[in-house]
Amino acid sequence: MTWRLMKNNTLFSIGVVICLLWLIISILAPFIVPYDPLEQNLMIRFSKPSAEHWCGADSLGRDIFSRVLVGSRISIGAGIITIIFAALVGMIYGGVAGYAGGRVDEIMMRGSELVQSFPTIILAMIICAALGPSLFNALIAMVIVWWPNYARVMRSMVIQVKTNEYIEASKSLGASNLRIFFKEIIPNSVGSIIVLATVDFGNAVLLFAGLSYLGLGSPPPTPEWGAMVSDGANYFTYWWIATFPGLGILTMSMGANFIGDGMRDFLDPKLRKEL
Amino acid sequence: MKKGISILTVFILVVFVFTACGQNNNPPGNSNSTENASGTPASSNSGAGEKHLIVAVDPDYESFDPGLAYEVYAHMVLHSCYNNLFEFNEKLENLELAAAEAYEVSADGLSYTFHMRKDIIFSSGNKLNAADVKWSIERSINLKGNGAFMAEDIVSIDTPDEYTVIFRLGNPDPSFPTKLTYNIFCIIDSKVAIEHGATNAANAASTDTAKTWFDSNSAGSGPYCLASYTPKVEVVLTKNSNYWGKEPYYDKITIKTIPDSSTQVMMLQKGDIDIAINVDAEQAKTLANIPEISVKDAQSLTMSFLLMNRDPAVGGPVANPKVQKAIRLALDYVGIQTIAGPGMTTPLAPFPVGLYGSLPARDISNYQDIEAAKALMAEAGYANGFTTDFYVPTTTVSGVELLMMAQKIQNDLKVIGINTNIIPEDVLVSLETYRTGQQSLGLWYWNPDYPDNNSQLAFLPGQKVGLRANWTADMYPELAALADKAAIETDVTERAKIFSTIQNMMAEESAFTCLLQHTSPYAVRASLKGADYISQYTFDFKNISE
Amino acid sequence: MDILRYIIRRLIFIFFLMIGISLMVFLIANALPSDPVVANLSQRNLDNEEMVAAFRAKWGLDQPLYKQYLTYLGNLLQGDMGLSIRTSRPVFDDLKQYYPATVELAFIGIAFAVIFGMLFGVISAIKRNTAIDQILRGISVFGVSVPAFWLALIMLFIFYLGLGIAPGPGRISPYLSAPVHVTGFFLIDSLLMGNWPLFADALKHLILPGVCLGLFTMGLITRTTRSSLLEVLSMDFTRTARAKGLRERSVITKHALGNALIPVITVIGVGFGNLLGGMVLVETIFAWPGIGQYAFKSTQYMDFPSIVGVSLLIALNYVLINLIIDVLYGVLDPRVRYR
Repeated sequence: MTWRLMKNNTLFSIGVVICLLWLIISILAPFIVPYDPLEQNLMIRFSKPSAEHWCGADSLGRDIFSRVLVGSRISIGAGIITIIFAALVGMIYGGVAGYAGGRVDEIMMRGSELVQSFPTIILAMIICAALGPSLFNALIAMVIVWWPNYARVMRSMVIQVKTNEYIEASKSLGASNLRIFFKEIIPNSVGSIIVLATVDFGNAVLLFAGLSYLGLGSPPPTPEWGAMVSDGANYFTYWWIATFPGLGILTMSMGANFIGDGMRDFLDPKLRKEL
Repeated sequence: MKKGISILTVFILVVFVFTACGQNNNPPGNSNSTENASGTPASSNSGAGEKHLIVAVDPDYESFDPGLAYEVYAHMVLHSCYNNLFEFNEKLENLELAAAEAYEVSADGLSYTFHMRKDIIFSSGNKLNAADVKWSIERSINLKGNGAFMAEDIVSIDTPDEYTVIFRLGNPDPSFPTKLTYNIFCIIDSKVAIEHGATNAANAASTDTAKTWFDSNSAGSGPYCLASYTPKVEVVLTKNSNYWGKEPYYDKITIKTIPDSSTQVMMLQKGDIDIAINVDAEQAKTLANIPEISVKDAQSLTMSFLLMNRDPAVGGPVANPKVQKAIRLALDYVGIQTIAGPGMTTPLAPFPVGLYGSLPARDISNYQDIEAAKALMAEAGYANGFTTDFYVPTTTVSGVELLMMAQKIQNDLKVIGINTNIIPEDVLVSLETYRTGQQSLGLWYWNPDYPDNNSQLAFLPGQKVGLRANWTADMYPELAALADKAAIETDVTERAKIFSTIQNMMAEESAFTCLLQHTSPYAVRASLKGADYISQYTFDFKNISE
Repeated sequence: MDILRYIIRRLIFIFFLMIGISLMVFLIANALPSDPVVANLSQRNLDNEEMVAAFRAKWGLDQPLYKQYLTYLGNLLQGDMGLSIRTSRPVFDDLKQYYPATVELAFIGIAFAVIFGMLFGVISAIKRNTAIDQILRGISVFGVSVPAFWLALIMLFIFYLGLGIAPGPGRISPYLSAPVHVTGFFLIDSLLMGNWPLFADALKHLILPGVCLGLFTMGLITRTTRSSLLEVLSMDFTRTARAKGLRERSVITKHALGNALIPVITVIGVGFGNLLGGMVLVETIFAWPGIGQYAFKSTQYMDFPSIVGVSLLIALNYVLINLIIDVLYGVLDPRVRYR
């Protein structure tokens, strides 16, 4: 599928290249960075981008290029972890709701609407403030605001599958509920969940950067992109401090969105409405 | 298919029009349309010849009720609207009578008699008399606001005649005239205030309903009146036409809420504002070579320090006095000053330079001694180092971000084997564990309650701040005893001697390491006169002119 | 009358949703590790136990949690959101004051998003698979990918400080005074005063933050307009219209566009949610006195009456907009049946 998409869609290909690049960078970052991202050198505070320091140095004389590279690990990690856990929570929740049907379904779906009636970052901000700023708490907050989408998709999948005659048949043959759930429903829904997750990855990176910008991510001196932009906001004349980590967020999120767009185009219109 | 292109053309046109409107961003009536940075002056350009001063501040105020406000910038506004019995004239050294023309102190120091000026009228036109003084101060006391503690020594206020006020105090207090400059002692037009629900009754805290009115109005006799207050937007002051003193230069003063210091600087550079109060040291440097702007340093009494807990249950290895000494020796004070910006000093002990009795700042050029620090660590049994939590409130102290300073300290301590986990917390969250002495290592700041070294004795063992490091009196009885002695000593030279001993003792052995005494840079348009910082008021607007 | 019954049912649901939200936020806010007492009394007064107790009693902090909530809910149902601990003003008054600034900005953001999003989407669909299409799609992906807080900084840096063609932060230039308060919307109030320079000034100040906020929604709309227009263009009735000899332009404007718009409307709902969230970040940078900043400050000060109040307001906006969109959707698409 990927190959066929790549042949027909330039933007999709660009997305794949960007994401692969970031993935490779994030894996290799500790070995390829020219400087220790935590090393301070007050002699070169605020130095401009140059041959030695490609993206300049920040307020404590740390090499921004190295920090941006290493920072990619946190962004990618946070995005992936959020999506995986949100998908897990959402799949279980939506699966149970869809499978149970009736009253239980109704009540459970109202519960997820409660969470969805908030713009994500505002709810995440309140939760983060409540738990205190740390990487772990930011991830918890992101999962809490992120699962309802998956629950919705999973639920409609389950309802679709449930009405299949095939399942009716295996039920009448005495298969247990749990067995049906794992053997029939999960494999049938996993495909669309994965597509949704790909599309969502870029948004998760953005949300995480937003929380980190507000100081709700991991504590310093961790090189987190959002926090680095916030640091640069204090020194607007030294434009490079905020610009490069911002470009990191932008390109990673754009790459994910290009891929998501391509996949969306590839999908049948029926599924497209679900997303 | 041509349609697509024509739509695109329309779009480009729309963008062009937007940009074109943007271009005309000079105020109406201003002929100067040069586009250079810091070109057009912001003031004196609205209305016909109305002189207008525009100030940008990251505000701390929530109220302009003189009895309730306690914030630094609230005092800046209130000082322009009200008179006190005493005021600081341009410098902290010039403590002068304001609404009174003479005063006497009784021999026992327990009674202060003020003879009021007779020519003062409020902005309403009412005359200011002794009854207003008594009423205003009693109201402030009974409102029990955050600043009310300054009046806690007052036993009674009497007004034997229309222009005489007598204060009787419970304890002799040589700093009483200094305290009288604070805004809880502002003299309010009692007739006007009462009309709006104010009361000086003992239960004023629950029955006084004038706060909302005071938030956007004033009832004073100062050079300006509070015309409006729009939270998060601006405070507008207009000239008091009934002002009894010299007429101020500006007709109108607008204090804009601009929380972000880089935005303030940007606006000053563009000529949108006249004064940027909150400037970061780094930004100050970038402004230094612009001739239209002058950057000044405000010497503040604010200090930042490292708290090292003495209780092993809380501090773990940090509680060891040898480790604390090692930390003091390991820090790169030169680097810390570099980060904080020019003009900063590092006091010996928590007694800010500039107050009576303070010793000169530490000579930091050779103070750092990594070898000695490592030796002390080994002596304490931590040759291989240890890991500890490091609490840092997420705030900015006079333009220095504490989180940034914490990263520098983290870096320095790593050299002697101390690994720190920075725990950034909102000030209000962190304050709780700081106050109750639960932080092993903390980065904090302190601003004296009133400009007198007596308020700094809190740092001694067994005193308020000392106990936040669980530094009890029995850990250093000699020093603890000096705290009590210094507090009541009235002889000036003897007092200085005690303070000097205290500081020399604390420079060697203490649960605190002073990092910086801050100066905060501010920037003004170079053509402004009299825009000088004074720590009590920030700015005294009546002194500012072109 | 189906539609009326549907709206009423939804409104009733929204009412219960709001109660649910108030409970949820109330619980979260009360789980805050910090104490509003510490946040709001000065250090000196914290040593005074009498004052601390008085403060707790005043705000009901000495009551058990469920009682606090019931009291809050009772007051809320009477339209009283309590007093903000931080500003000691009624939360309702605070919100009333900051709300218009946010709505004005949101309106400009949405207007920008809808106009340019649809324009780009249509062009992109007409010119599908050409370079223009790729560029416009690239722009739309840029819109949904760019961090608003970063873009805000960069735009201020370039257009205000660098080129000097855009005004600085704030709702109006510092040397101007706010218009007389009638609606709180500076655009409307300045017009009511007949003050054209003020109107122009306020409008100019809306452009940069409006673009920053609207870009995400614009990206969504471009994408949706494009794909739904393409879908409609491939349908039978457009083919019939073409077969009847209608020119391409009128096929698109008369037949296709109307049908293609329906999915676009639902996307606006999603975009609006993002826009409200972006307010928190963008308002701080543009010194915009709106509810985004208010929400952030309130969480910092653990001021839970305002946290609950501002959350309710934002959520209410969000669900109401989505209700309107759903109703519009039904009006435009006769196939939709309300149930």
